[in-house]
Amino acid sequence: MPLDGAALPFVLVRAGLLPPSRYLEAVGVVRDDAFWGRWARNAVLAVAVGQLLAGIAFFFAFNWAELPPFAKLGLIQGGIVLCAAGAWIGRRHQIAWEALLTAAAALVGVLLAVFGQIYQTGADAYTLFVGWGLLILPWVVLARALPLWVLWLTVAGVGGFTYAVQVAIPLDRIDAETTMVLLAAFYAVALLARELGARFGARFGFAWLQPLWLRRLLVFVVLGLTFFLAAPVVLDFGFGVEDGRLALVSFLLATIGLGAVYTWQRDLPAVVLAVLAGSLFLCTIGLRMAVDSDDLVGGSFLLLVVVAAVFGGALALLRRLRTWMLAHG
Amino acid sequence: MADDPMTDEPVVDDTLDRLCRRFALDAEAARAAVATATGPDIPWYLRAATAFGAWLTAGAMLLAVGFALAEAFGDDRLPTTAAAFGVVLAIGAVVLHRGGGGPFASQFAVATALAAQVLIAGGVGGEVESLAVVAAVAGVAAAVLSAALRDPEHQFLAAGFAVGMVPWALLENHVPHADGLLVLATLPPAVALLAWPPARVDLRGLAWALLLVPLATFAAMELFEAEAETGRLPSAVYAAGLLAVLGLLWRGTTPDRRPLVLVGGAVAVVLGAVTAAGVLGSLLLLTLAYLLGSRMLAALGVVAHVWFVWRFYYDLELTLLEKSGMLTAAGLLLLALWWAWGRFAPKEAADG
Repeated sequence: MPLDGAALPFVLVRAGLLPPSRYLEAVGVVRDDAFWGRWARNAVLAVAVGQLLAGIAFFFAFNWAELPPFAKLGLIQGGIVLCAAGAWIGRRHQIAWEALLTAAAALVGVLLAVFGQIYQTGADAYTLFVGWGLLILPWVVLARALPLWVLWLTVAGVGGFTYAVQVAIPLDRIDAETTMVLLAAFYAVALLARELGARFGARFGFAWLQPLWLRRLLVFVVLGLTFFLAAPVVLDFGFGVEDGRLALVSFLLATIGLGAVYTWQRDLPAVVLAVLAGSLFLCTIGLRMAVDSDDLVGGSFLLLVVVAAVFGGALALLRRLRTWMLAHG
Repeated sequence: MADDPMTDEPVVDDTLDRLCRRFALDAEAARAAVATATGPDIPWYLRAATAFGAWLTAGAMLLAVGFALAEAFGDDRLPTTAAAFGVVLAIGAVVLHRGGGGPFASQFAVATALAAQVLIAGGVGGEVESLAVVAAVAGVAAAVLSAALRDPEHQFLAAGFAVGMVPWALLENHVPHADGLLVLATLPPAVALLAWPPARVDLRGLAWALLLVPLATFAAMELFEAEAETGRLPSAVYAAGLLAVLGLLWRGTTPDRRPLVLVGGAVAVVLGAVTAAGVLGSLLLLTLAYLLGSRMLAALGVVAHVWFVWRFYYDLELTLLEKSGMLTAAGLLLLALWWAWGRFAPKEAADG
């Protein structure tokens, strides 16, 4: 692997060119003092703010039972206003803007939870998430902040899932398999929106969608959801999945589709995720074959062969893909 | 390129030139050393995927051979069988690793060697039913396999397993202050190996294991509610270690920055003294990260700090109001340090 600057003194010591007694002096020469100075100062600030906020939270937790409902709700609403105002004041600093707006959006969920605690109506938990998602949607749309979108996608996904579990599935409007496939499809649509926004939206002010971490996070979520739906089908565990064909098709579609699209886009980390998901799925089939063989020793050797062949092949494929991507820019 | 930094050769070249000038090194010899040390250019996520596949394959192999041996020899001679199987695996791992079959084979060999060490130590220790024997055999096996494989990752894992067994062996024998004795035995060599790495052998894996495993053991003992007799010894050792590292930092820093090192060190020691040993340990990691310019150590220090502070306040038999006061006071102290840093520290940009 390539060496970074800080590893050089160690290489020189090992080569006998630099005496060990001068190693720290050499580290001092290559160390990026500007980076470490900023890092250390930011770390002290983060720990200080974290301890102060925890101290404030503990103080209110101590007095929480005695606080009247108005004060409880007022405190949280005050926090929302402060965070939103802080975000506006620090709007020129991307980190402050994103962190404070996300904190304000998270506090809306806390407000709804406390509201539900004070005025217990017996409503299902999904109302909290659905209400939370709807209330923060306008500022999520307007804020142009990726962490806020991640929070909203999480809240909306949990809201939809809890609605299905608490209402739709018990009323036979939908089954568990379709619920999970729809959830994966929801995140797939979010991924598509991210791709379109990042590709064509720069001139319309969507340049903030370009960081690749959101793409990889969504790829991971889509593959994870479909894998954890399809694997129990292969292993015949059930988990409320009766038919299984939809689960298998959605997993295969997600893995092959995402793998192909991001190979074309030359995004190797996303392709690695797809190849790993496919490899794990093939190993799950190997495990099923091993269990079905009714021979503990023979079955476990069969599993070994499958795992070694699958990962050997997958890694060879990834190496070839990387070479191809490097050759094609 | 920022997303997938394939190489940073210009930065390395520039840094190497600076080192050669400062220490009057032979530039050609230095370049040759760097070229030898530079491995294949593989991005981290591909290395992680390779390691994942190799370790899963090694797990499947252990399962298969383990079932076969259990069926052949039965439960009665299980410890002896496990130890013998471990020896065979160890030989296989060394042969495979030395064969130079690429990253997958290398990771597979590391996983197999670690499994061999566990089987040998567990088998011998299981035969005599003693955790002290498990720890001792694990230490010997770690030394032998590390010398044979010469792989820093394996050295870290093997040494980590051996060091991690020591406190449980001490607890089994009701040795008082087991956690403190562990830190006392491991911290000085860890700091020494990191600050003055030997030229003849690469002992980075051992140094990291000696530094990190006792801290992880604190966390594990707390989680599993092991009956460790926690006194002030671990805190005292970590405080001494922190002062030693601050001393090294003081020696290498410019005079205008020394008051800051002094104030920062005093705050860290005071905070550590009134909290838990783990908090002091995490502050030591953060200080070492700065001294060595290690981002990995910095990330681990942050995680350890958050963990131990959280556990400390969670475990204290105090009211929420008292904890609130302690946290707020600590936060204000740190905030004052942060302000003083910005106010009195020389500008970073001017230092280059």
